[in-house]
Amino acid sequence: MTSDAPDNPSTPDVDFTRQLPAEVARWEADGIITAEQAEAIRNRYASDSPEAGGSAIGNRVVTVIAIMGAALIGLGIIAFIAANWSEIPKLAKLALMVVGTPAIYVIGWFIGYRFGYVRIGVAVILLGAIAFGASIHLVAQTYHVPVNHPNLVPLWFLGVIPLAYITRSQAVFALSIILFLAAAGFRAQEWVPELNSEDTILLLPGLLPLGAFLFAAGRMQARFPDTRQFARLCDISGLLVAAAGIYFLSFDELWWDIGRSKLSFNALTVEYWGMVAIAVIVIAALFAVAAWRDAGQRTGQIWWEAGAVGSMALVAAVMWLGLAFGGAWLWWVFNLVMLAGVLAMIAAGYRWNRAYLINLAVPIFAITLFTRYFEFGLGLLGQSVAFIVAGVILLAGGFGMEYLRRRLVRRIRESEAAS
Amino acid sequence: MSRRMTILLFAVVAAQVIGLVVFATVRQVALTQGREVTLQTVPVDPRSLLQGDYAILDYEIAELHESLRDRPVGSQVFVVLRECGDVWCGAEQSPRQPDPTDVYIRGRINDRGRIDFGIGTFFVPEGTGHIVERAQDVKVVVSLSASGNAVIKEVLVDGRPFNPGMEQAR
Repeated sequence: MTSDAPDNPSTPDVDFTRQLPAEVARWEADGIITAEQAEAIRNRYASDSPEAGGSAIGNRVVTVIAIMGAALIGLGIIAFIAANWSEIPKLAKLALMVVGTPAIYVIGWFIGYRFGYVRIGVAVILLGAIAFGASIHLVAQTYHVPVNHPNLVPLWFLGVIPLAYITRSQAVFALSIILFLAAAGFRAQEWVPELNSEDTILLLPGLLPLGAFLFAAGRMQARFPDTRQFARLCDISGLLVAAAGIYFLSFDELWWDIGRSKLSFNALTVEYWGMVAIAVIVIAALFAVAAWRDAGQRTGQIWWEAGAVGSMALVAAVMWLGLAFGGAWLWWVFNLVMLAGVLAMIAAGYRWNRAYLINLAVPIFAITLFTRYFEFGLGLLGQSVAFIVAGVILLAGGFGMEYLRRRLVRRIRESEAAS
Repeated sequence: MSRRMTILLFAVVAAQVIGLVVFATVRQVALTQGREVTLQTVPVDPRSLLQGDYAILDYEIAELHESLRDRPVGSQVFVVLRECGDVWCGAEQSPRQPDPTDVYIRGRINDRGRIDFGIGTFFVPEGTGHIVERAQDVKVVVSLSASGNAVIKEVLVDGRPFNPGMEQAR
């Protein structure tokens, strides 16, 4: 595969499926692909073509509606459990969940893989994954185990993640990522049991290794045909988690408070640093696999991606050092880091033709900008000058990127015409 | 879906069911095999989004002894119990595990400077939390394992086992 291949070929857009038959015929005529390969490509996207009565958008609507249905039924099951209906004996409730959850999976499997309604079947399997979580919490409720017990959500995550890879469902994978992040949060209270509530800010730098891990997992999965469809979800969640860590530490008032209070760094236990070390080793391993898959290619994409993860590690180190020794001026550093991160995401999206990176960078930039605007209010001359200068730089950068893009397109067309 | 993937799918479903059964069995064994003691509580009544209504139970024996107040949040504390009439009260607190012949309960210092024994939550049917909240006297019967871990067995509201159906009918 090439590194520039789209991460999610299973959901082609309308233009793509409309243009594909003509393109495939042209490739076949030019001898780029054989007749068998052309047939295989046409069959691959047959159900998405308008001629077949389907369309990418139509398929997506079916998927979204089915998932919404599964989510609503799942919420109903959770509400049923939350009501803690005393008329049903505890053992009967447990039996209902122990029998009911597998029954949902069996129904999903029949609908999806026996009757051929894959999108509906996978949505029912998603419902089964929600019902599994509800069952865990039902057992916990029966024995008066609190909802914030550190083992409940990790158990739920471990039960759901294999289903995502077996069904290749993005919805189940999205649920797995949400559960993974929640599980990390619940486990954190075990890794740092001595942390006072006012010292929880010390956990924020940990969001960077967490985000870097998800991003690295996405980049590794992008290099395998069977897992490529999950890469985008991993990238987006990883970048969002990292951005959240930077965002929380970009507040001026927060750094003044940190300067006034004495944070107990000793509360960060060996387990906490051990988890950070494990994250670093796993990230390195994921990139080693990605580099192995990229061997022989000269796109250089892997170095950009490794650079992004390295930058996250550097920011995390600055955060820990800043919290230990830093001063109030550090809020500026993290605002600059956020701006640099946003620009890097836009540049990467532009360079590697990944629109989702740009679509992610713009709201992050907007949220940060509005936060600073409301944090400082109007009429502050220094801030207004800073905003204007930053805005001028961005406008100039946008103009430069558009100029380069046009020049690149012109050159490609000229070279095509010449050949 | 290939045959291999179908087998994998149902293996995962089986693992989920086994996980649920093991979780329930471990709790049930702790409940039935442990030593039974009754503790005096002071309840309040919030709501859990995922698990519905529950009462937070704070225990008289959760008061941290002065000699242990400089210990950090999250530190383990053992409370040796002795019978005081119809309830058990704290006789001694120690960071070290007491003699196996003693009856003791294990907890951790929480960020409010009290001891959390992991039995601070009691789930009740929807809309019945006020019964526990308004009670004059709430005691909790817990089952203690040999290592001092506690599981709630029953809640006594004004001397009677908590039964929301009966309470509401009254």
